[in-house]
Amino acid sequence: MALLEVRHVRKVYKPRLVGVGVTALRDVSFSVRRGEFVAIMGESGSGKTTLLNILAALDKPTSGQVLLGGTDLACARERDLASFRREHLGFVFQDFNLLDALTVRDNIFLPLVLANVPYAEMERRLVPLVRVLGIERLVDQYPYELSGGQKQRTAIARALITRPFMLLADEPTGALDSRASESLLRTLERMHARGQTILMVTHSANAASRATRVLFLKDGKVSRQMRRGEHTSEEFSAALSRMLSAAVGPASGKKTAKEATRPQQEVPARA
Amino acid sequence: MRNRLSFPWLAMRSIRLNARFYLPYLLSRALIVALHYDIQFLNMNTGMDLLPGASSVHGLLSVVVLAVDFFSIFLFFYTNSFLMKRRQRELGLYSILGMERRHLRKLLRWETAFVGVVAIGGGLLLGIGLSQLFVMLFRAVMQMDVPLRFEVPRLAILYTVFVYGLMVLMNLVTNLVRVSFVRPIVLFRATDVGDSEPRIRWFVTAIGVTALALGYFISFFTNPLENLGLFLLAVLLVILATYCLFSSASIAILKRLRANASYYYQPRHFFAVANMLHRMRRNATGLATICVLSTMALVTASTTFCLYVGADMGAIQGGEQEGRALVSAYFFVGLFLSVLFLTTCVLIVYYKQVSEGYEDAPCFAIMQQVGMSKDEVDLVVRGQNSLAFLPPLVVAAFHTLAALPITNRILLAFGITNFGLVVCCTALTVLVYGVLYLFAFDVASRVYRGIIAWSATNDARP
Repeated sequence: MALLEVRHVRKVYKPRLVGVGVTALRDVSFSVRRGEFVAIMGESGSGKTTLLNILAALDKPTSGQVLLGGTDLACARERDLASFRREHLGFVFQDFNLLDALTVRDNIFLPLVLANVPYAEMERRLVPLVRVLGIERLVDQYPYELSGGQKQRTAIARALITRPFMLLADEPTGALDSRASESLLRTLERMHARGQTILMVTHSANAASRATRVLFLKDGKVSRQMRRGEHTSEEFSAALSRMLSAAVGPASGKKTAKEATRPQQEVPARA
Repeated sequence: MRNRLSFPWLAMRSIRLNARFYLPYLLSRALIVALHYDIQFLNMNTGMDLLPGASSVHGLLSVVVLAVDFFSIFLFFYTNSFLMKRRQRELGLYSILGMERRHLRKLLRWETAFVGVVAIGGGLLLGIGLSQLFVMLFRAVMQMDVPLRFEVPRLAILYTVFVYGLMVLMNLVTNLVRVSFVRPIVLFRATDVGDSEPRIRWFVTAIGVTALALGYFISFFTNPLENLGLFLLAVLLVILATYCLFSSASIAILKRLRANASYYYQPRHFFAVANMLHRMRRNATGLATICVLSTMALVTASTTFCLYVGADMGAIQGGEQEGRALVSAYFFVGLFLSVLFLTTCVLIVYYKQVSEGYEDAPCFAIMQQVGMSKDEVDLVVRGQNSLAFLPPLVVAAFHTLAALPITNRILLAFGITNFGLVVCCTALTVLVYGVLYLFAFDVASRVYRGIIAWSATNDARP
């Protein structure tokens, strides 16, 4: 069974008073299996952030279902959603969202503190995690003393310390320079190799190329998807870039002979 | 065509845009100015001289005025630092968009001029209004040919304008220096970049402890009516000690709390302790100001209360009509002062909660994203508030207790010799004040929670 099932999700933003609503998501369906690394690509305005907010249970769909580990997020109460979010989802944001008042250690501990996990257990989980992420020497520093890359590693540690079903990353490399981005993407790949399910939203072909599967979001729908298959991330990245530039032109679902040799493509997307 | 982007226009506009920060700021400053003016008004009212024992009351009021001047310095730096913290991003943006430092300085000068005029002018108007209202009530209640007059002592206005004008200037200089020497990008990021972790400052602690011991010592052995200079010294020392100890002891205590893992790593303590420690340097000034104002309110109110009860008993026994009227006059003056202190204190509590609410809102938004429910946010806020709420009240009660010998000596001059009565009245005053303070704090905390909830739904996602 899939870890995440998104079924016919539709989201319309209604204006406060009168007027026509804006449809951010038309009809989005896809699923993510345990251990997958899925990237969702799309231009700004394609509904990426809306989708992520719904997956993160920060927002509710107008219609449709989101099943995560068998729980329907749309039907849960706010209270339950908060603890669900805390226990089963890990978040990484573009601008890190670390708390300046807390040390790196305490930032990472935050979700565990909220879940009343004993201190000894928190420490036990922290040690291997910060070692893997290469921030073990920074734990007593404050976020404002760190570089962007270090901040994002801290955010990843905070997201993973609860051992979530799924890591949700929103443009994780958006605020990083190319070197820090590269190193962060490697870290994500390593986390994936260790069995972590990851869902990443991005508009960067380079970032998306690290995923095993890429979904393209366009006009509030999943327009198509590509699998990485046996290709290297460089090849996959090039294919994704071509795909994006093709999408700007007349959208065509036909496979050309040339494209057939490229990473596997499924049109239209069905999961 | 006239240049529309003139500096006065730009300054006005930024004040209007930041109204939600400027409003409580202006209100708290105006009230302090009004408080200052009203004490001056009482002190300089020509009618007061006609009351028997006026010279000793003059002396006491002069000490109170100087004490208000003294802690206003701290208060002005405190409110200024909160406001500048909010404004830095905008100033940084201006400078990134091509404003030179001299332009920023010009903008700041205009802003300061507007804000200063509004705060001091508004405060004076408020003060004059309150004092006239007071005289009116005084006359209505006393129903006798009262010496207090409707007047606006020019000297009181000049003194108030001078003192607070000077403080506004000091703020301006600090802000100009900051704008001149800090790189634009640092200004731009300033709201995000935290205050660095405060260190325990042993030197400040030592000053605080010494000043407190000295202040208490003097107050134990000095008759305020005979030796005003020493009395003033004691008051100033205790105020200084309060500021020193709140900023150093609080950091030490919070660090201890943080070092205790089983206490610290609990949802209701975790963020409260970390957050308070994070901005304790500014926070301490706010808490100390609340403490000093509370002490002033408590000492004034308890003395007034004792005077009233004591004179009542005295009147029943002795039946002197004249003395009773005199005591009533002083009672009324004391009541007026107590109410002023209390109101100012409540407004500072409100200011503190509002300005911190805007500062904390992004943190609570992050915590909700990480998985905190609204109920848990409430729990954290309550933990944080109770941590901030009690210390000023406890320390103020302690100061009031230490001021008992002084209170007693003042009351002796009015013929109240029953020390037991003085203690009872003081205890009762502290109790009533505690309830009022709790109420004010609760209201302010609601405002704080409202700001957090509002910001979380509006700016939760970047």
